[in-house]
Amino acid sequence: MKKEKMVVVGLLMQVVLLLGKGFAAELVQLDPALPVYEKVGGISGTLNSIGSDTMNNLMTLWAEGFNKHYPNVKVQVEGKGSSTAPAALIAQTAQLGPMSRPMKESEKDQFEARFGYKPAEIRVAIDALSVFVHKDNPLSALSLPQVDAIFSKTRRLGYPRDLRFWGDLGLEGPWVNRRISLYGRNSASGTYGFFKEHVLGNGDFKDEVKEQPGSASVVQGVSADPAGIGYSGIGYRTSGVKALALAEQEGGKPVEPSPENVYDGSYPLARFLFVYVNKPPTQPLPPLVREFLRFILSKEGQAIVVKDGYLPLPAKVLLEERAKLN
Amino acid sequence: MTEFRVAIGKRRAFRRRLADALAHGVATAGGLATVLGIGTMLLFLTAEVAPLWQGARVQLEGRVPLGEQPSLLWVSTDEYRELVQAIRADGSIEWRRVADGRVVHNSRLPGTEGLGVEAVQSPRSGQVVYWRSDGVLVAANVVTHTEYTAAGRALRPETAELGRWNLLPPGQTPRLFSTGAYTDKGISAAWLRADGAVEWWSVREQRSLLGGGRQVEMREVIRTADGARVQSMVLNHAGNQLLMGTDEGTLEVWQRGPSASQLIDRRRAADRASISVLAFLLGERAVAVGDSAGGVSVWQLIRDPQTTTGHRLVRIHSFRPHQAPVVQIARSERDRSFVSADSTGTLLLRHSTSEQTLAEIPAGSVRFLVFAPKGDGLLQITLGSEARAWRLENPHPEVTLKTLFGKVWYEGYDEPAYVWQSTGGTDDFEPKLSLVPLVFGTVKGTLYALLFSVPISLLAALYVSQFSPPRLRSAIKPVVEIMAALPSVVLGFVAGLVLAPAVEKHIVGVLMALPLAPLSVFLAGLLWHACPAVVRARMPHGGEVVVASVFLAITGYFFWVTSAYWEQLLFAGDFRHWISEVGLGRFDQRNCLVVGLAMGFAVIPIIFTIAEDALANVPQRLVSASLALGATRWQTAVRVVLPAASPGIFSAIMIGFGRAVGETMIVLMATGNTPVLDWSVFTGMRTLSANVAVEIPEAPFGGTLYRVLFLAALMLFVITFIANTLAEVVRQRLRERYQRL
Repeated sequence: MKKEKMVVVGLLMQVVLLLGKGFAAELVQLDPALPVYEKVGGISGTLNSIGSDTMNNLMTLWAEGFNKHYPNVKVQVEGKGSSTAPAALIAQTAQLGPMSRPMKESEKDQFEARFGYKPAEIRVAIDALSVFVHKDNPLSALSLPQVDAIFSKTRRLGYPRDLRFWGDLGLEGPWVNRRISLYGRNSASGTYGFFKEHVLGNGDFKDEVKEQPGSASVVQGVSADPAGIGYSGIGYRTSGVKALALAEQEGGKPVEPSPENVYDGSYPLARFLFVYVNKPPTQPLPPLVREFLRFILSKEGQAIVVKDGYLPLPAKVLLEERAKLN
Repeated sequence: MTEFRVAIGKRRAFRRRLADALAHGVATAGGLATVLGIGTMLLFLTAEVAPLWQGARVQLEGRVPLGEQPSLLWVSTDEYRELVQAIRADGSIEWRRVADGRVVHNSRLPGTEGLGVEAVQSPRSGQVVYWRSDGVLVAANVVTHTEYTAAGRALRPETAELGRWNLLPPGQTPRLFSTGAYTDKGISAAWLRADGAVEWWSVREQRSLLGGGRQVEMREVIRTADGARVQSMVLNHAGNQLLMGTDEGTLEVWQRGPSASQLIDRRRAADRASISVLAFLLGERAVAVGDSAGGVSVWQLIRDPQTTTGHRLVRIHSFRPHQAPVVQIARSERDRSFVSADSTGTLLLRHSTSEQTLAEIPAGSVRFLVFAPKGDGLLQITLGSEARAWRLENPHPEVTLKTLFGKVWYEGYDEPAYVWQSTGGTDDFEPKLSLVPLVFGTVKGTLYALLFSVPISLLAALYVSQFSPPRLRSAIKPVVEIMAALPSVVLGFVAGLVLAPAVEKHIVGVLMALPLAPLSVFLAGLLWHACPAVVRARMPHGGEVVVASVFLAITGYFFWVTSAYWEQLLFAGDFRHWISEVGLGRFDQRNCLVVGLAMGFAVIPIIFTIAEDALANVPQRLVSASLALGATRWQTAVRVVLPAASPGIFSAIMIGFGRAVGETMIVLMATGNTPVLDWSVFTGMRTLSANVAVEIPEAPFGGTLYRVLFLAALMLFVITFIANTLAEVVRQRLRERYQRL
């Protein structure tokens, strides 16, 4: 069953890879100071990963790369949303919990109530959460308060009125009376949570947001719907959609989700991607988990990040995270 | 020989009896096991749901005398509730173990050597802001780190200064003040002056696009609109919103803009009493108000275009009042719980969303009151400077019958509403757990599925059992039954990914074909009548099916292909736009039309096969008698066979209903799973079953969401149970009625 799922995930991933990527790989330079992965002996067994859908392809690619070094290791990846990661780590059905948002305090409480210590948090990559419209949509930039007014019924960022038609955003011609069609993620998603926190100011989504089970279906929905707008990690960008430049405030300068803008902090929706693991504070990690994380936090692992359309960690952050493994 | 035969007969008889007894035993055991299984399931579901109503438990865990001198200014506890941290007027900080009262660590507030401290506040956990006696405001981190060693968990306190601002002349530090949190963007503070005015100060880091920043300081004096005296005030985290309560019971909210502050709204929040305490709830969208008459309520700012500022203060929740003036309110950092304390020392534990008062604690007297960081305890300091640590078990405060089934006024909403939004990405999210949209979605989906499938399957059953040649019947029935074997996930997949976009593209054609294609069959019937008898006689028995199908297919295909033309003709080329223009709501690609078609596909075989059996089993003598008396076949079918088979038909529909209610995969995949409350066929819905499937992986074991999902499962169980029981009772009654025939 799981194996079949892996195959399906693998196939889907190939499709996604063929369709095009988030950050064009040739534009992103890997930090030369990143350490190269060194293979160690005596690694075998099964690794389970349950969590973020945004990171589903990434985890699968990492698993494949890891398998090249250790053919005896089986890595199973399941991605239904970041909120499934804490539940799986607590139930010990997974050793790796990829999440596209930081774990909530209440989730850490539940973990701690079970094990007596907090889960270890490893930053593994950088994502620019992007707002997509159909490729034929003439719009190229929005402000966050506008995005809030499009997606939210609470409008906490203070945009004065509700935005329901593309004409409300100043588009002309056939767009004037075209109703904005909203695509979003389901509530288990960390992307949903991040968007809700940073774009909606923790307000509430409109009821008519079509909740999709995965980032790929959000992007697919928008690319098939000329009136559509949706959000997902930049890694899911395809040629059928356009990622909008975003301004933090009404009237501010819109910023493209480009690598430079993400690294210098000017793109407002940049975020870290995490992997959580169960590490007793006084004990070392199990060798298999440790090696997998070391692989992720190596030049090779970060090259895979680039391949999947996300941004690699700067060497300084990466070394900090590596230090947590010991 | 005879004896032998008899022996064989006896042995046979014995075998027969044995087989009989065995079969009887197996059947009884099977029946009992079924009843037992259903009973256990019901019991299990109930057991999982029951703790939702268990309420809160409070227990005194430890008492530690802190000593009167120097006087206490502020207390808190760590997240494991092991230590009491106390700040005193000389600037010293001490950490005392709750278990034995020993001081485990001593420190002092940064920058307080030789100077006293007048007032302390903690805008966020791990951060304190305090007035030194020389009028300087200081922000500092006072953090307790958790470290793990071989011996176990150890707590290591650490202090660090963040910034200081010389704001007031020495000796004039305020009695009442509130501060925002210190961040890299700045800090804000407001205080009450001796002359009754409020001074609001803030410093902001302004960054230019080219990098580099400058500090912008702002200081302003504000007065209440009617000159009433300010009794309580609270500033939000960001330091841009100030709430003040007066001795006349009015509540004022001020907002700070880039250059000046503005009174957003003022309302009377207490009758014949002064507002003694104000405290933001978690998330700072709503504020708890306590007054000198003991009243406690929760208020928020909503949008209101009628007012000049565009906003209005409204009371969204009211609580059981205290018998004495409210003196303290402490909020939880984990949910919408808070504790209010009155001057007689009674503590009442409340929950904002559900308006519950969960526990009453006679606590003696209250000087300070704080929630433990994890929301699982309370720290109370009595007037006699004794620290009391209370343990709090309050697992499901947000669930009451009202929050599940009633309209609730949630924070940030302009009016009370039924909402299902169970999870957010942050801790300060207010869970919205109304089951109403889900029950509604279940009913809506079921209704549309039955609307589509009941006429088709019943008419098909009637035709196959009464009119079709036996050869056709023996072919159609198995084929339809094979339809039932299609996994619903396949149906859902096809419906969601193929049918939904196709229907959207040809929506007008589909809508026209739904009534017109069946009409074309009538047309076919009329044509048939018009045909000369010679032609009719040539037609083989059962050929009418072929003709009708051809007509059906041709009209269906015609409308499918010409859909765009009709759309252009009738709806100016954009049906979706037309819908929203005439106020029929919006058009979702994954809507009830698609779900009705797909779910109908799953339900049709069930209804068809049971109804067909019932119709075919009507005694032949009734049919023969009717025909012999001169009735036509149609009259016989409708007036004799149909009533006689009605018990079976009724149970067929009810079983179809049960299937549609419980169907998960089709609705999961073919709808947007949006929990909306409208009947429109062009929008989706979220059903109880799909909701359980969507959210159970993210529901931590034993949590509120987990149990509410089990409640949803229990409700599904009860609905299907009632439907089936009802079906059975009605069926029995109808059967009795028609048995006499």
